[in-house]
Order: sequence, then structure tokens, then C-alpha cells
Amino acid sequence: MKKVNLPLDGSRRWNGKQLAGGAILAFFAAAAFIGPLIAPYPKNDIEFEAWLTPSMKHLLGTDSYGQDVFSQLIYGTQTSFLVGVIAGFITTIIGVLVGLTAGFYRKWVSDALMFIVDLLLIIPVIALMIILASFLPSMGLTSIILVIGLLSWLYMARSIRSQTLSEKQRGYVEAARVVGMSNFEIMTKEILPNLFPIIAANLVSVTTQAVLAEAGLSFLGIGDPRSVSWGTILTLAHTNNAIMYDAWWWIIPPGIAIALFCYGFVLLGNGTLERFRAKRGAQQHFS
Amino acid sequence: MKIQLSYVVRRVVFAIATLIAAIIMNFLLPRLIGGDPAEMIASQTALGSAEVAEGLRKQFGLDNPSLIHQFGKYITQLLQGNLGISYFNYPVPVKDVLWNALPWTLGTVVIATLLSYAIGWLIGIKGALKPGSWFDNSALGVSFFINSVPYFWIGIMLIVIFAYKLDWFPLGQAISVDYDTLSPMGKVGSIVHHAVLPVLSLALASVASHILVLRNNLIRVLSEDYMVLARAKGLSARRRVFHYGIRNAFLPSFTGFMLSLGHVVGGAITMEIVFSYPGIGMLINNAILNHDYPLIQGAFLVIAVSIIAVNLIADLIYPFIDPRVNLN
Amino acid sequence: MGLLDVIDLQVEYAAPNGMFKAVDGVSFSIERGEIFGLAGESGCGKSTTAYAISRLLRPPARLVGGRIVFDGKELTKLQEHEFQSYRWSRISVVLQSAMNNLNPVMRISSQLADVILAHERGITARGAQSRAEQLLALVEIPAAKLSSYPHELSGGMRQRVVIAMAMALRPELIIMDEPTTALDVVTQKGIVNRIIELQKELGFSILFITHDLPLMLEICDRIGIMYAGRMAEVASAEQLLYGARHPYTQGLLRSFPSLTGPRVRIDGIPGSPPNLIMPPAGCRFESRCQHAADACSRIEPSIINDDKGMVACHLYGFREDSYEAVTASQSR
Repeated sequence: MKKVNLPLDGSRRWNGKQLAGGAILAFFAAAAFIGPLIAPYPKNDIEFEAWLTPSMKHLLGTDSYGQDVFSQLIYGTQTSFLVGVIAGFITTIIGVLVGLTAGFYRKWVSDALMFIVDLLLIIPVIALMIILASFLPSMGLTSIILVIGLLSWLYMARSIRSQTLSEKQRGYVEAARVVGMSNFEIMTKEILPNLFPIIAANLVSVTTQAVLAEAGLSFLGIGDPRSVSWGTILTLAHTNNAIMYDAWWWIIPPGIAIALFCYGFVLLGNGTLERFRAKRGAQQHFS
Repeated sequence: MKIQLSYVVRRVVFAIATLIAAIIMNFLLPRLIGGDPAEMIASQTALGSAEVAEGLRKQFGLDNPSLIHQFGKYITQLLQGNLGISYFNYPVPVKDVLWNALPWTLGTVVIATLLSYAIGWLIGIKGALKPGSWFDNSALGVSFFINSVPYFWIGIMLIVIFAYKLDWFPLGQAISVDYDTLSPMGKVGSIVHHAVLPVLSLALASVASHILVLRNNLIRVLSEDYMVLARAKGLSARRRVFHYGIRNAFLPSFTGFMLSLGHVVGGAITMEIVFSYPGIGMLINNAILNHDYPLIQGAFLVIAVSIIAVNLIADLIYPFIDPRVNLN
Repeated sequence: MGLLDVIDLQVEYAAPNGMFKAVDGVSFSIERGEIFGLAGESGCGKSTTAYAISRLLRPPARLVGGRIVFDGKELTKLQEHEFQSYRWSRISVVLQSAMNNLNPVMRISSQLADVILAHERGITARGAQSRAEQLLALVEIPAAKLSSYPHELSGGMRQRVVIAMAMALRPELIIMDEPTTALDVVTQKGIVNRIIELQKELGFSILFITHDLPLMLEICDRIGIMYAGRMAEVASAEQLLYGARHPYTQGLLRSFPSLTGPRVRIDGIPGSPPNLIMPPAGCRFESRCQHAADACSRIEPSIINDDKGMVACHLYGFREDSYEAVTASQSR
């Protein structure tokens, strides 16, 4: 009765978008974890002259503090990567839990959960993040990850819920009930595997959002002042008037890094969804 | 058009519930996560004297450790419009600080939202009518790129190009330094000139999702049975696209409006910092840097109230656009 | 020559895993004032045939061959703007899935009026409105419902509106693709009866598509049975009921219970239709056919036209040339 639409269908396991996205992310993962070992200069090393233009010695020049921008960018990769992946993961777990529960149980459980979600959806998450972040005694990487992770699951819960509702209509849930599976078993063993593509697509978008949120919070001055991330590099560039110094090497690379990183996730997510749709579509193409 | 009273009541009740939730959060969150407001007030040297601090503590009930007592005082003060005194702008009340900043934010956000909807819809429609064309593909590519970069980076890039390199627009601020000496027309010109880049970057930052939403909806709608039937009926392409296609396709993006508003506000906050634009976002930034807690809380409340209000308005307009809405 | 002649119609689909012909060499004709039924399992190409006739095919479907002749005019040769004068005024359609035929955000009145306004010059909005009223009266819906939105009507009423709409311009042919499928049996009955009455009164022809064979036998003059993109048999309803010739038709008839006749065992047809991306060389029904002989898997059945209708099956005659060709190629 199980109808899992994930890989292993014999044909191509990955489509072009998934491959491209995966390659981009693998590149960043490498930069995040191997990068610090091979970065040209130590973290926060300020021994150089300020505002140096890019050269062989400093691939992306130096900033107003005399730090090597290229090295900072590599260290920043690790922070942004961690924030994105861990916060994205926390968000996904909460989103799936709430969405699946609200979609599976009708009546008051669903109503109550969705009321809370709608309520929170209206109050802008960024404002909540600001409140939380500015009142927390100290803002380390952990707090940033928690604040982002715990506040971003609302959209996801909604989309998981509606997918759960439509999965419930399919025959296999009824069949599972007939053979006497418990609600919990049906949810985890029958419905959840069928939600994987939707979850994957959502995971991708919440991870992207987490990276952008980290950059935004840093820009607002709420980030961890000691850690280096793409967001803090951009923030420093802005507060130190990099524009006036024509220091494009300080402004453009972090932006491109964020864009490319997020684009990798977008590609992966769209590729996964397309494959899912193509398969479902093929099943019900002609009626 | 008839709107059912029960629908209106339901939406209003929901808005009030949201508002109450926002107020409780605003009261509770700082206290829950360990920030002691009394301690914070006392530690602010900007307040001048110990007596002032003591007065404030009394006013907000901070002399009594009971949360319920404090909440009562908080609500009482709130109902009187008292949001406390801004530390940084001492002795100006938070309310006045916010009130001066609000028009700048409201103006840019409203214009940018309208602009981004208009542009996003036009591009989305053109793309959906010919999916896979070079226009559609490049619109999608640009949209994904915009959605992948921080709002403020877009603002910075616009400054680099249009303010710094081309020198068409000012680098920041809302008015020129000689504003007071200008004629009324000159004043308007100065405001508009300064607002162009902030509005443009905000619109650009949110246009991507409008393009994607309308495009995907329209593509879905175009394959609906009533579209096929409209073609069989021999209706003109124009009538089919506008009265049958777009009318249906834009409904979900209208509901998406309420969800996107939070994003726009978030974008506006960072955008104002980029442009040193004297709105709520700039206030929040300064408040965070100066640990001006009453101002942060006040700003949160202003943002929450505006969004809840706009949402309520959108909810009440919606039945006029989608006749089905009264049913559920 | 009938009102509509479909000759050797071929429609190709581009599926994710290859091209295939959803309709492959289908021919039939409909006389004026006739109700012609098209039946078959889902996926047999009956709806695609309807879409091809009414020029509503959209990618990935494409008309790749055959001729559609309507009232002596070859529709397949017309440009889109030339076909415009046929749309709705001469050929109108009632589509499958009754519920989504109407635009959810437009009043019934406007949806009835806009088809009139689109085709008739010099008619005023007021004139179109009163015509809309008359049309609703035809299907026994009170004029008060004119200003309703589709969601405010029941499924049966909605489908009545669509049928009224189909008659708005007094077309000669109405194509009805599963017009009552989504409705309950009682509502279905009422609507079908009304359709028959109106057909008698106004004299239009109907191409009636459904998989509900008993209903079809009851209302249609002649019936075409499609299987896997091909026409298996065409005959009068009477002929089919008492002397169906194609094994597939016989199987179909056996898979419906008879309400009035004696109790019989109902058996469906075991097996499923062939993959059309790589269709079998011979008869497409061969793998499910009780009478399948050796030649059936290799040689396409010839099409036999006689006084009982049309049938494509080896049981009723061999096509000599193809048989010789095959035996010749085998002996080589």
C-alpha cells in the first residue's frame, strides 16, 4: 500500500537543477569546513594596510581595518553555513511537527494550531526577532541560530498542513486504517514519506531565509559582534563607508556569496519539486 | 455586493486577538528572557537623575515584582498612549519619536508596495502567457536572484550605481541640508528626489515574489476548464485573459498580500539604515545600538498595529473581489 | 455526407517519456439531428477526439493528421480566425468535470451574455441579458438565479447553466464530454432527459461522450466504441445492444449490470490497455481478447464496413494484402 515517490525509480536519480544546486552547495560546504585551514591569513588579522585594492597578495583587497577580505569571506562562510543549516533544520522539525499534526487531526487541534500560526504570521517575524535578539543578555551564534530557527516555521507549517490534508484523501491512508494502524503509525510511516518532496522544498527555502535573516539581523546590529559572517562583513562595509572608498571588493563579493549560496538551495529545491510533480503528473496524465 | 455580518465580525475579532497577542508578547518577551526592565532603566545614565528613573519605575509598576501588577500598569499606560520615555532622545516620549518617524516609513512602504505589485503583475502576466519564452526565463532568473540576496545589498548596489557613480540621486537622508530655505515646490522636489532610491530598492526587493506568485497562478488558471470553455466560446483573447484568467489569478496574490507585508516591513527597516532614511527602521537601528528598550518595544507595537490594521482592511475588501469568500 | 465527417484523425501527445498517438486513425460521421455516442475506457482517446474537433487541443497534444469536415467545409484547413465563425455559433461544447466549467468570479448572467456579445453584432447588453434569461428558462432555472455566482448554485444547476450556454447561439453540433459524470444519479437523469427534449425540439446534433454505456445505449442513435486510440466498432444503439461484434464491445456490455434484464454475472475485462508509446504491431486488444488468434498479434485488423456498421476485428474478415505482406516477410 505504500506509495513513496522518492528516488530509486531506476531512471535518472537527479535532474540537472538538483545536480547544479548540489554542486554549488558542496562547494560552499568545502569552503566552510576546509576553507579555514587553507585561508591565506588568520581570522580577524588586522596587520595590513587599510583599503588595499585586490592583488595577488590580497585576492579581494583589504578593508578599513586592514583585514584581508578574502580570508574574512572564507571564515564568514562557516558562520553563514552553520546558521543556514542548523536554523533551517530546527525550523523544518517544528514546521513538520505542527503541519502534520494540524493536517492530520481535524476539529479543534487543527483549528487551534492554525489560529496560532495565523496569529503569528501577522506579527512580522523580523520585529519579533529584533525584540528577542535585543533583549537576550548576549547574542552569540547559538542565540542567533535559535532566534531564527524558532521563529521561521510558520509558512512551512501551513504548507505541510495543506499537503497532509490532500495526502489524507488518498486511498492509502484509508487502507492503513483498515489494517488497524494507529494514528501515529499512519502519520509517521504512511503520510510522512509522501511528504518528503514538499519537506525538501520547504527545507531549502527556510535555509535560504535563515541565511538572509542572519545577514539582516547583523545589519541591524543584533548579530554576534565577534563572529564573522557574510552579513557582518557587509554591515562593516556599509558602516565604514566602503562606497565612498570605491571598495567594491568589500561590498560585492559577500553579496554574491549569499546570492550564490541561496541560489544553490533554490535550484536544489525546485529540481526536487519538479521531479516530484513530473512523477505524480505521469501517474495521472491521462484520465 | 453583500458582505455577511458574521464575516466582518470574525475578521474584527481575529484582528483584536492578534493585537492582544502582540501586546502580551511585547510585555512578556523582554521579561521572560531575563532582561529586567527596572534594572535597565536604572542603568541608563542618559536619564539624568535617579529621581527620574524612580518616577518611571513607579509609573510602569516596576517597583512591584508581580508580573500581573506590572501588566496592569503597562496596559493602563498604553491606553493613555504612554509608551515611556526614549532613553536616547530623553526627555522626548517614545510616542512622539515614533510619530515623527512614521510618515517617512509609511510613505515609502506604501508607494513601494503599489509599485512592486504593478510591475510584478505586468511581468508575471507577460511571462505566464508565454511560459518558457526568453522573457519568461529571464524574469524568472532575475526573480530568483533577487530572492537570494539580502534586501539591504540591493539598496547598497543601487546607491553605488545611481548615487555614487552616476550621481543622479542623493546618497541618503530624506531631505536636503538646505531644506528649510526651499520654496514649497522645492521642498516637495527635495523629498521626492531623496525618496526615489529607497522606494525603488524596496520595490525591487519585493517585486520578485509578486512576479513568481502571479505567473504561477496564471499558468495554473489558464489550464482550468473554464479557460478552455472560454476559448471554445470564441471569446476574444483579450476578454479571456483579463476577465477569465487574470481575475482568477490575482486572487491568491491578494491573500498573499498580508503575508508579504511582514517581509516588506522587514525590508523597509534595513533599507532605511542603508539610506539613513529617518523612519521607524532607522529608529530601531539607533535604539538597538543605544539599548533604548522603550523605543524598541514602542517600535514593535507600531509595526504590529499597522500590519494588523492593513490586514483587517485587506480582509474586509476581499469579499468584494472574490465572491466565494463569504461562504466559508 | 453527414454534418460532421471525421476521417483518419490522428492526435499526438508528447509525454515525459516519449511521443505517442492518443488518437490514431479514428473515423466516424454524425448526421444532422443525430445523437452520436463515443464510449471507451479512460485514456482511450475519446475526449482527445472531442478536443480535436472543437480545436481545443493544447500542447503537449497536437493534431498530426486526418480531416475534419463540417457541413462540407474542411475545418482542418481553416486558419484560427476563419474557425472563429464556427466556434460556439455552429459547434459548442460542454466539458467534462461539470464543476469547473464556469468562471468562479463572474455572475451567471455575464457568462451567458458574453458569448452572445462576442458573436452577434449590434446586440445590446440589455438584449443579451434578456436572451440569457430565456436560455435559463430552457433548462428550467428561474431567472432570479441570473445574478448568482457559480458557487451559489448546486452542481446540477451549474451543469444546466453550461448546457443552456451551449445552446445560446443555436449551434448545429454540441459536443458533450461526460456532461453528467460528477452528478448524482437522479440529477443526472433529469438533465439527460432535458437534453433529449431540447434536442428533439431544436434539432441539433450531439456528440455524446461518456463511459456510461447503459446511458449511452438509451439515448444515442449510433455509438462508436474506442479502444487504445482506435475505433473498434461503430453501430446503431440497437445493433450494439443485441449484436455487438467486436470482442471489446461485448466485454464492455458484459461489465454493466442490466437493471431490467435477467440477472447475469458481471465480468470486467481482465488486463489493461497497451502502452501507446510502443503500440503492438497487430490488434491493440489482442492481449485481452478471448478470441485472440496467432495472426491478431502481428496483423492489424482490417476495417469492415457493412450494413451493420463498422468493426475492426479479424473475426469478421482478413485484410488479404496485409496478411500476404506478413507471411511474405516471415518466409524470407
